[in-house]
Formats: sequence, structure tokens, C-alpha cells
Amino acid sequence: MSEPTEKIFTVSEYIEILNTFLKREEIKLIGEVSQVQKAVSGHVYFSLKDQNSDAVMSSVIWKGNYMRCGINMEVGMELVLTGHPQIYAPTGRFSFVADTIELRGEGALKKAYDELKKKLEKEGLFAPERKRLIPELIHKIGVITSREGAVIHDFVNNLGKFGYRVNLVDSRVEGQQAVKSLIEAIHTLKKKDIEVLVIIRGGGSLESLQAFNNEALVREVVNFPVPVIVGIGHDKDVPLVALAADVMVSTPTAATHLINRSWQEAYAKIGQMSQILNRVVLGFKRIYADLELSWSSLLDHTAERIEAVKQKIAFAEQTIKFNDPTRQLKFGYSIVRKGGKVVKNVRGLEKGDSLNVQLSDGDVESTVDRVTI
Amino acid sequence: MAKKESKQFKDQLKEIEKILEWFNAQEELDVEEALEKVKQASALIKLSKTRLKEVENEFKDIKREIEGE
Repeated sequence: MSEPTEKIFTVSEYIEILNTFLKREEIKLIGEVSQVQKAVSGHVYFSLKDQNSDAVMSSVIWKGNYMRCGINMEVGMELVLTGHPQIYAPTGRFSFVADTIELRGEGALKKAYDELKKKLEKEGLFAPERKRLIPELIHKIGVITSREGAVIHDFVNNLGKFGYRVNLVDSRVEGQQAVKSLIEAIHTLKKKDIEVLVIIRGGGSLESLQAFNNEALVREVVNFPVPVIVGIGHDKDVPLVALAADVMVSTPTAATHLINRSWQEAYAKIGQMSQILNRVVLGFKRIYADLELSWSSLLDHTAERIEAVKQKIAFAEQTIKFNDPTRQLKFGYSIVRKGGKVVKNVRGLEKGDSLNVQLSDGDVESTVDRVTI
Repeated sequence: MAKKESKQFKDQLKEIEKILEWFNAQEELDVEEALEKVKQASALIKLSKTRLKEVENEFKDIKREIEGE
């Protein structure tokens, strides 16, 4: 049996293995900036040292990440770096590669916040005249927040049942590392069909809300194609992203109230209108009932009148028939006329006079033979 | 019913009534005059009956329209 062969690495192979191992875990490192070199390329090379010892770590932050962090690095700043160490193969130099840098200490944070606020204010990014109105009766909502935690549940639970379509993009919301995640989420929703963007998170200290005081993020919000509502709980200093938003609310629940309001108002109006409509319909029904009644009484009255006239005429017809002298002819009476005039007595009649005698079924022309009284 | 026709109809009915009153008032009937009145009344009754029939038909049409709605 032969001895196992001992593996012999080349320098580059070994550095690669070491770098793979070193990259496995994200590390947070705190220290004071003791030296800064900003290269033409935009990358920033700096040294971070302990405040109470001489230990120094060579560090670098690449241009993109540096820009995103919105910190103008200076010697003496106390920073927290998030990243991993790395050995640079061509020189064998060990350095810390920071993905994010954040200011440490309320004082430094406050100073940075005030400076940036002043700068953005001067640019007019918080000006009321550039605020857009939240459209009414919206139903396509983009939401950026952490999928974990109570905030999204509060938001969903308080959002009324008005047929909303919520497009949620999960994002980190804590610390400086959240900036990258938030910007990516904004880019994702920029491509979606939404009517309003809602950025929400629960309350926190200036330190935990650092990401929301980031210049790059503020500019993303300002330039977002649809109105933006920002609901971030805060203590004293309003996050700059909230100041830049079209509407700023103090809590995620308040954001839902804002969105629900136009729907609730519309429903209230519909309710009022339907009440009015009901009253109108009832009124019409009553009028119709009255009309029907009056129509029917009018009809009845007219029918009675027609019947009365009909009876009157019938009565007249009967009376006339009864009084008609020719009716007597059937009983054997006759009407005698002389020269067209009815003869009522023999006076004035003479022998030879022509008389017309009307009987029930015809006339007889006759001549007087003799007159007797 | 047009106004003119309505008036005519009313006048006809009044005329008939007058003739009836005349008959009622006669204690002794003058045959000559009675024959003339009968002639007048018969003509008026005929006209009135025709007009009443028209009115009745119009009324039936209206009633049918209202009740059909």
C-alpha cells in the first residue's frame, strides 16, 4: 500500500481557496478611518483601526457600493463595515472588502442627516409643489417592505376589501445594507403596472432607519413614475425618503387609510344615492298609485256619465214614441187632413171637399158626401 | 271629443229635453204640433244616439289604453 500523496498547491490556487473560505460569511467590522485614498476609478481604499489599539485593517469599497452608501468618507469617522476579507492575489495583500459602510454614533448620523436634508431641500426635492396627488379609486398597489414581521400583516389587514391587487416586493428595511435591497425593489416595481407605490416599515431609531436617509434612495423615490406613499414610524427626525414622498404618513396602517379613503367615500356616496333613489322610487310608486286611483275613478265617472246620457236618450225615445199621434193609428184611429191641415171638427167642411185620411199602413184620398153635426 | 261637437251634442240633448217638457205640458194634444215635435225629436234622438256611440267607442279605446299599461 502506497502512502497518500500530499497535495501541493500553487500560490494562486491556495489564495483562491482562502478567498472562497473567507467569503463564506458576512462580517461586520467597527473602527475609525485612519487613512483614505479615493482612486480615479471611484473605488475607495482606506484603513480602519481600533480606537484603543494599533490594530489596523486595510479596506476597500468599490465605487458602486460607495456611491450607494451616500457617505463622504473622511479620516476620523467611526464606521461599521459589512463585507468580507479577501487576499489580493497579485500583491498578497490582505484587505477587507466592504459592501456597505455606515456611520456609527447618533452624533455622526445626525450630522450626516442634517447635511443631506439641507442639500436635498435646496434642490427642491421636498417642495410641496412637486408632490403628486394620490389617484382616487386605485386598485393596483406596489408595496415594498419586509415580508417578515407585523408591518405587512397590519397593512394587508387594514387594507379594505375593494378589489385591490397588491404587488409586494420583499426587501430588507434595517440598517445601511437595506439600501441596495430597497433600490432593487424599486427597480422591480418600476416595470410593473401599478398606480401607487407604498414603502412601509415600523418605527426605529435614526441608526436603524439609516437606509431611509440615503440620498440614492431618496432620488429613486422622487423619480418614481407613479405617486409614492411612505409610511415609516420614526421618533424625531423624519426619514428623508418620507420627506421626498408624495404623501408621508406616520404608520403603515395610516397608508391603508389613505388608500381606502376614496373607496369609502365612493361607497358612502353610492349609499346616499341609493337612499335618494329609493325615496324617488317610493314617491313614484305613491304617485302612480294615486294616478291609478284617479284614473280609475275618472273612468268610472265617465262610464257612469255615458250610461246616464244613454238612459236619458232611451227615455226620450220611449216618451216620444208614446206621445207620437201616429201610434194611435194602430188602434183604429185615423188622421184626417184637409189641404194639409188636420181636421179636428166638421165645422168648415162641405160636400165635395177633398180629404186625406191617414191610417196605420197608408193614406186614403176621399171626398165629403155629407156633413152631419 | 272636439269642443264644437261637444256643444252640438249638449244642444241636441237640451232640445230633446225641451220637446219632452212640451209633451208633458200639453193637457190636450195638438196633433199637428205633436206630429211636428215627434219629427224633430226623432231626428235629434237619431243624431244623439250616433254621437253617443262615437263617444262610447272613444272612451272604450282610452280605457283599454290605460288599463293595458
